[in-house]
Amino acid sequence: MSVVNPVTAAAQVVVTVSSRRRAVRRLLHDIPTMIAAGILGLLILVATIGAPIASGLTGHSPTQQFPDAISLNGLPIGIMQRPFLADGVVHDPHASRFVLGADRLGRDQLVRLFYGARISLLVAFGATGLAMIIGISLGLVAGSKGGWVDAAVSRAVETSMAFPSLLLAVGLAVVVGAGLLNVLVVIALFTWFYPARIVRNATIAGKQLLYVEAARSVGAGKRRILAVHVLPQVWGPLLVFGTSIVANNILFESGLSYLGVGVPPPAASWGQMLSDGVSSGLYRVVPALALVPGLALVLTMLAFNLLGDGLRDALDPKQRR
Amino acid sequence: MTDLSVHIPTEDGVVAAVRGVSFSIKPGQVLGVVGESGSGKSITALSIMGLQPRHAIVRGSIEFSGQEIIGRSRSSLRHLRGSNMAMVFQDPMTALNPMYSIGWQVAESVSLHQKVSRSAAKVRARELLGMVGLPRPEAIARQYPHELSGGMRQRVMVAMAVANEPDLIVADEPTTALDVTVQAQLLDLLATIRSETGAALLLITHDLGVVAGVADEVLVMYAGLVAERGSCTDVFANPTMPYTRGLLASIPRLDDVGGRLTPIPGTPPSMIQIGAGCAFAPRCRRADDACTAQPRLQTIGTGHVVACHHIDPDDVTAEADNAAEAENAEAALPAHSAHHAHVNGSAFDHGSSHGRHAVDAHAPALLKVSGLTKNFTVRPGRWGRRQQVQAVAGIDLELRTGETLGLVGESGCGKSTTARLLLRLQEPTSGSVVLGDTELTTLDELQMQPARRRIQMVFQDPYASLNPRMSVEDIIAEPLLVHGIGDRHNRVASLMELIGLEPAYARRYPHEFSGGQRQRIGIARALALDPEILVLDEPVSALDVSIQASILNLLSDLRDELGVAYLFIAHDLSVVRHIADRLAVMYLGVIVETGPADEIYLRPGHPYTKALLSAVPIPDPTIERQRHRILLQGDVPSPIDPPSGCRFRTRCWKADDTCASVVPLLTELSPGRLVACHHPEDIA
Repeated sequence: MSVVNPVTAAAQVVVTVSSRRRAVRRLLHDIPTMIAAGILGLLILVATIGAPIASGLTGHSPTQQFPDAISLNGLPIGIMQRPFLADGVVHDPHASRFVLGADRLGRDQLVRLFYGARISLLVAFGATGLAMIIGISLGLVAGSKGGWVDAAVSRAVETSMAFPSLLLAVGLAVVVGAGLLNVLVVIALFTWFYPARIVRNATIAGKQLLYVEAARSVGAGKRRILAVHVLPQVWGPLLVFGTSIVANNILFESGLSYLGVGVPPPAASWGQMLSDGVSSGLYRVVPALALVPGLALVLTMLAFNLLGDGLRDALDPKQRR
Repeated sequence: MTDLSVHIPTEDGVVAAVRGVSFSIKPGQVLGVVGESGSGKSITALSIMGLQPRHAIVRGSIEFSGQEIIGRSRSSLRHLRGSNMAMVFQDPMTALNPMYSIGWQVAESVSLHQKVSRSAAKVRARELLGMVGLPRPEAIARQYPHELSGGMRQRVMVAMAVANEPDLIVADEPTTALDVTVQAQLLDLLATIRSETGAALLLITHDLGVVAGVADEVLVMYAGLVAERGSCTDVFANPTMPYTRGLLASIPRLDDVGGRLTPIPGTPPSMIQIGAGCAFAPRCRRADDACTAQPRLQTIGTGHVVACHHIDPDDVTAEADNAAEAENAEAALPAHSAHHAHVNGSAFDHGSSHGRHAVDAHAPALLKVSGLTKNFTVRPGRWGRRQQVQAVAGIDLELRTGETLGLVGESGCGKSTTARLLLRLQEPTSGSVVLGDTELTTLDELQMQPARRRIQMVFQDPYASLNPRMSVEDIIAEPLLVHGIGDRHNRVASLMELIGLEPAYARRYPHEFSGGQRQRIGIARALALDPEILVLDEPVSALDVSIQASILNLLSDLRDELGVAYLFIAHDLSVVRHIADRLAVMYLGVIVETGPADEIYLRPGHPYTKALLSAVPIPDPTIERQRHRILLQGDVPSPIDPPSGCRFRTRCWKADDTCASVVPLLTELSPGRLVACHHPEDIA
């Protein structure tokens, strides 16, 4: 009687795969998502260490203007070309190449692209993070307090959703002035309501969960219930949402920069590069001026969106179409 | 049907759901297929209908009146379905399309297979609705599914199934979602339909009592195989496969009191990696080396076949001797608590004739509930008129130290709401709850904390009541943490030992445990604060019968060991009968009868109690078929607009004018027995 039956002891733990492990496994088998993740990994690498390396290897700083990278008729040099000799006609065989050519002011496009990635990611992640903090706190307060607090937050969410965000952001950016931090805050002000909604709904739905009720029955306080039982289950949706909102925010930042209210020059940003190439009209002769930052944007957006979709499918396969 | 096998590929691997099942069913016969969840019984039924999941791989042969079904085209199967065979599904709530009227849906199943005019189909639909015992078929035909109760919808399903006079009706757990009194009505209906149409009935259920009442032949399935098959009387009178035997021993019976149940140890195997050999061997008390080979079906009587290596009768007695020993190993109870349980268990066996523990009936009440009421405000639609629903309409209860009070009633009677009110998970509208000498209803959340240490709850669903993101240790330790009790690690370890789980598993997560084990975790958590009262809200209803037994045994051990009082809420009267000292029967928000459990079961005082008891099937064909059953008419009325006077009068065969005007009060008929009825049964 005192000996534990080995058969029953072995049968005691049913081995099933945890949902987390399942999600990871699904993710690893999803080829497009893995490719997207690879691209984004590369992008982050480029933005962090790639930019200074490229700058060091070429000897071109992102803001340095090379007058000899512009021909006599005012056209910047093209892809893989070297700057001109003093005569402005013959390329200097000893100068380092401009891998993606130069821009209107004779700056190295590749180095600027890399440093632009820095700005884009910084603003996108920063703004998303800030939006998350605002959204989660407001969502939690609205969902748990209910009543007029909930009504106020919900109406605020709906109001901000109804506004044409880019238009308003441009106006706001003009008022607060250009600058990295200002851009970041402005963008966050137009993205906080999505996480707020997710968290509010989850908090309200959480009240119905049996294990939340079980926690109440042992006397757990409101704060503990929210932090331990309710919030952890929205990490998944928030992660999915965050990934795709980062993509939107990159576009948002580019849009603001394109319109001249983003990160102020001479700092490189993709939107600015695009706007430079297009507004000067040079893109008709040197298409790379528009294509390089444009393609970088497209690729990054695509990668973030694919990753977001992949995460959603992996975390919640039932939603798969 | 011969050698059917169904394999279903899933993300985790291929599930061998059915692994070679053969049986035949003759016209007019009822074949009961029983087994626990995951035994492959539903997939078998779906395959007969050709409704198995699309990617499932089906092999073997299903012959239906000489025609092979497997491999037929979808269209020819579709023709067969509905006209020659029909199915009644488990869940009447989702099996009907909410967008169409009842009449339209029944007429559709007629016109799909018969070349009749639309009006003729309509007429036939009305006829069918009348045939399945629905009152006012004309009116019902114009109604939509959401306007009908579960029992009525299931009748509609039966009407649709018999629309084209099929030769075979497959009913997959047709009564599982229904209350017992409605279940009794439906089983009665199925029997009538069979005798009128001569159709064969394949009845799939986990409830051995249901099978005992209606089946001619029984097929016991385990792990996708036939474990035992034979005539109903043979299988029940002479169960031979240890699994069948275990199943019968593990269920509490209405006609059998107290004592200990004999659970089947372990859990059913995963159907993904099923090894060779007898699938039941790991849980079998008689398993030996021979069982590593797959047992063949052996004939042991007329039409009675068993898949087991040990069918000689000598083994039977040996098994009985081992039963007690095996039971203690059942959940791998660690040495000391198993010992305690055993000592206490035998003390009570000697102490009272029923093997129950004695409670001092004159002790002061530990928990006293009086006039407890809960109203909900509902509003049909956005602009509908606000209406009051009286979920709990003023109930009085008393629970003494160490006592088990069973609170029984059908779904919607307010028993779960009562539990939630006691723990202040919901705020009562009026009434009082006194614990010891503290009135609970007026306390705020902070003042409630000390009371929460004295009264704790175990929830019905062991899957949803444990936070999947917390380890077992964190789950059990949460109440300790909340109440600032130290030494949590050691306390959790001793709690886990107490409820029969290896403390070494503390770091694991709920999904790694089976339903029974999770319920043990839920019990450990509720016991963490050393409460005087445990409110158990349907603690075993989500579990398979073989698992139910071990949890019930655990609960009675814990009660004896710790002296906790239980408020045991359940709809299953057999389960309550097994564990409760006293009983309170609820109907539509009111208590209609209370008293000592044994007496109520023997001589119910309220007509409702009497009907309820008679509706519970007993897993013994000879007894079950001789019982006189009181079939109540209709369903439980809506609590929005309860009947005047006595709430039960609309379904009561004794109702008269007094019942419609005067609310009956609980009156003491004999010492300790209170009945709220104008015309109580003779209980002397």
